[in-house]
Parts: sequence; C-alpha cells; structure tokens
Amino acid sequence: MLKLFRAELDKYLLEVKTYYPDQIVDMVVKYILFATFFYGFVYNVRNSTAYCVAYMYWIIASSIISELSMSISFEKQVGTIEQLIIKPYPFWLILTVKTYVVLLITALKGALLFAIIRITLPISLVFNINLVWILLVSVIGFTGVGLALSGLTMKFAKTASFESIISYGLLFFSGTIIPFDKMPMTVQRVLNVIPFTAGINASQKLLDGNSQVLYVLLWLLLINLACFVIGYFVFNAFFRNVKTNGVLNNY
Amino acid sequence: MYRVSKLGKSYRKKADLVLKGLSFDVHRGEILGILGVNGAGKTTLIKLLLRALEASSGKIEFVGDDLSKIPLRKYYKDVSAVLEGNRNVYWYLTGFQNIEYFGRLKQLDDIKIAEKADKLLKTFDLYDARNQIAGNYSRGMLQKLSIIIATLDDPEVLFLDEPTLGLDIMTKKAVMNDLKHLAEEKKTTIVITSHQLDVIDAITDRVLVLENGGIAYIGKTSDFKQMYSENKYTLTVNGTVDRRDIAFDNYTIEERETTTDITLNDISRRDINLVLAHMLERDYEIVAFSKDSSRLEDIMEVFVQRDRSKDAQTFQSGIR
Repeated sequence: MLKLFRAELDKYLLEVKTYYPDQIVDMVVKYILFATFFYGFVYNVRNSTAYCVAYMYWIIASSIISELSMSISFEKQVGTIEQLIIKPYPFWLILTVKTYVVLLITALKGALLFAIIRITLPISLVFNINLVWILLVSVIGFTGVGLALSGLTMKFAKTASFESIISYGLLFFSGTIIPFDKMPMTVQRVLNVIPFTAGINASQKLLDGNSQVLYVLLWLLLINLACFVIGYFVFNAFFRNVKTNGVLNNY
Repeated sequence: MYRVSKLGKSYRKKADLVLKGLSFDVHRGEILGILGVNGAGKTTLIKLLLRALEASSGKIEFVGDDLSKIPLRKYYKDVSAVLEGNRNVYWYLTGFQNIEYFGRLKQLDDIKIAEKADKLLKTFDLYDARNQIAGNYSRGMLQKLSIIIATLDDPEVLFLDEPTLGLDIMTKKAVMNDLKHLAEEKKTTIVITSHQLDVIDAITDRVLVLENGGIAYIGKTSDFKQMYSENKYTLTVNGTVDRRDIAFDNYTIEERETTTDITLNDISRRDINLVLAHMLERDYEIVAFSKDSSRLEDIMEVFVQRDRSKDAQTFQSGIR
C-alpha cells in the first residue's frame, strides 16, 4: 500500500512540476471566484467561517469527484489504462490512492489559498479541530461518488457534462448560495442524508455550538460508508461491463 | 501453463463471435506465436488470457486452476504485457521514472527496481537516455522501454502484442535474443503476436494460426512451414539454358546477366532428381539450388492465398 502511495505521490509531484502553470492558474481562479462571488455573501452574514467551510467542502468534493473520472479519461486517452488494470493492486484502489494524493496536494493548496484570503480580505475565520474530523469522514463519501462517476467514465470515456452537473449541483446545495434553513423542509431532510451536504450542515451546527460531536460523527460515518459502498459496487459493475464489451480502451 | 477449452468471445451481439470455441495448451517456457490476418482475433485472445477481457464462453486454466477464480492481485504478479496500439508509458516522465512507477505498481522494492533497471537499460541500449523525458523518445525507444518495464519483475508469463514494431534491425535482433534468453534461461512463457513474421520465425517454438475465429493450425513452427510449403524449388545455372534441357513441364525461367533462374513449381522429390541429373548430363554448371518456401512470410502468404482461393471457389460454385 505504501509502495502504491509513494508511486502515485512521486508521479503526481512530477506532473505538478511539469505542468506547474496549470496549478498556479487553478489557485488564482479559486481566489478570484471566492473574492468576487462568495465574498459578497460572506461579508453580509454573521458567521463567515461557516461559509468558508462550505466553500472548502465544495472545492474538496469537486476535486475528488472530478479527479477520479478525469484520471480514467486521461488514461483512456493516452492508452495507459490497460497497463494499470493488469497490476497486482486493484484498479479502484490505484484510482483512489491517486485521488487522495491529488487531494493531499489540493488540501495544501487550499490551506495556502485560505492563508492568502485571510491576509488580503477583511474576514475573520475561526479554526475548530472537529471540522477536520468531519471533513475526513466526508472524504469517504466523496470517494464513493467519484468511483461511481469513474465507472461511468470507463464506459463512456467523456463525462465532463455529468461531472459539471454534479459539481454545480453540489455548489447549489452547499448552502453558500441559499442557506440550508431557507430551503424547503423536504429538501432539507434529503440533504441531511447526502454526505456532502450533511457534512457542511454538521460543520455549521458545530460552529454554532448546538450539536454533539460524537453523534454527528457517527451519523456522518454511517452515510459516508453507505455512499462509498454504493460507489464501489457501481464502479465494479461498470468495470465488468467494459471488460465484457471490450470498450475499456475506447476513447 | 495454460489450458484453454472451448474459449469463445463476442462483443455486444452474441452472434458476432470473434473467437469460436478455441481449445489449446500453452506450455511452460515456450514461445508461442499467434498468427492471423488483421481482425483474426489475435489481440482479443491475448487480452482474454490476460483477463483484460472477459470470455463469453469456455474456460481458461492457469497452472491447473480456473483463471476466472484466481485473485487478480495474485495473477498479475505472475504476468506482464506489452500491448500494441496502446501507450505503455507516460510521456511526461523520464525513462527511469516510468520504470520506477510501474515497478512500484508491481510491488517491487526500490532497490530491486534500480538494480534491474540499470541492467535492462544497458541491455536495451537505453541507459544514456534514462533521464530523458519519454515524450522525446523515438518509437523504437518507447517500445524498448515498454519491454523493459514488462520484464522488470521476471514474470512467469509475458504477453507481447507486436513488440518489435518500429524497431531498427539491430534493436529488433537484440530484442529477439533477449526474448529467447528469457524463455530458455528463466523459463518465461512468452505469447507473442507480430506481423513481422521473421520475428515469429526466429524465436517461436510453436505457432497458433487464427482463421475465421477458429484455430487453423497449432503446432511446431517448423512443421507449419513444412505443411504449407508449395514444394517450389529454384535452380540457378551459369549461362543460358535451352528449354528442351529442362525435364519438367511446370516451370518458369528468368535470365539474368550471367546466370539463369529456373523455378520448378509443385515438383516431387523424384522429379527434382530427374531434372538435376538431366541438367548435369548436359554439362550445365549448377551454382545454386534452394527450396524457396523456407521463410515463414512466404508460407503465411501461401496459407492466406489458399484460404482466399478456397473462398473464391466456394463463391464460384455458389454462382453456378
């Protein structure tokens, strides 16, 4: 497992080094997006940390989901996908580790971004360690969604449109555009069982001081594991399908 | 090593069988060549043995166990492949970084990777280019790098789909020697497809010829050449030849500057002796005598033509 992690980490760092302008542009875009779009909301609300947490969730969730399917799309395009499936590590595990490596770098970039935001924009952010645990648990569920979308990418090669729907859907339901408590009650109930929104909701409640950490974490763990298991099975179903129909290498 | 029974494969429509009920064995340490025209199902067969594709019917046994029941993490420790038409390496990584990455995915230690990489890079004359970006490699260099990566962990079975495509003569010879060495010394089982029949001819122990989704021939390469030989002989004599001195009817003649080539078609051994004796009696100086169908390429041409003429005959009789 450690070998796999090192293999993916070294490879991704070399990729970042090779294509570094892309990384800089990515950070600049995220800063501009925050400064011009979200800052307006943050400025007008009482708890700016909660909004920043929701924004961070969106960055991480969309990174994981898009990275998993983009990895497959890239491997299919360049023709290395079959070399990856004939390795002793399960293919889903290679993709997941690859994604976590990207997530690690994204998290470092995110931390840098928030440091820049704190220095350049007049907002105050509160740090709470419990938010980190909630985020880590939520990553399990995001991975499930990412795996399901990867399965779809294995079959159909280009799934940028699906990815956009999910990414912007998550943005809408992140609570950064419309606060949760302003949404219809039925929608609120549904959002409470979706890992992404449940994580944000739980984080915001924790910041408001009206929730028990252990209970919240257990509930989140349950729905995130369920999401991961569903994603894992969807991925494997698509994997079997492409191996039967011989379209793994099609692009 | 492998026992394949009634293996069938179809994509989407079950009626369109790419492979129909193939049964054959692959022996440990042998080099088996898979031949066939484009679309015969060579790559499909390799991918089925690799489990990169799922079979529609039949069974594959690997060292006595049902391949479909062997955990992939175990199976892929024993097998490696270089697949044609695919990129087997990442272009933004250097040659060595590619070796290191794929070696780690094969669960090898960094020390072992470095040791083996050094040796193989030198063998394949790629050592000086090891720190260059693979994107700057020529086609031949990329192919060599792919073979290095595939043989890094001394696999039990090596699948090679068109491994010598794009290689220069010297590199091709070196690759062929290395493959033979792998099979002989390390008892690596090699399953290879190639349109370069000189490669198949030079290194394979047996060939499997695919035709219309079935096996048209499986056996020793030398037997295949013998079986589909046209019994065509070429006799080269000094000077010109009087046609009346050729004691055989089915021949063609080609006069060169100082010599004459006489090609004797579909001739029996007894008639060859008669022709030669007749020529010698008339004081012709024979400078060369050869059976021209010794190259696998010629044999395959005859084999494919045989099939086409059979089809044409069937078509003609259908019209009548």
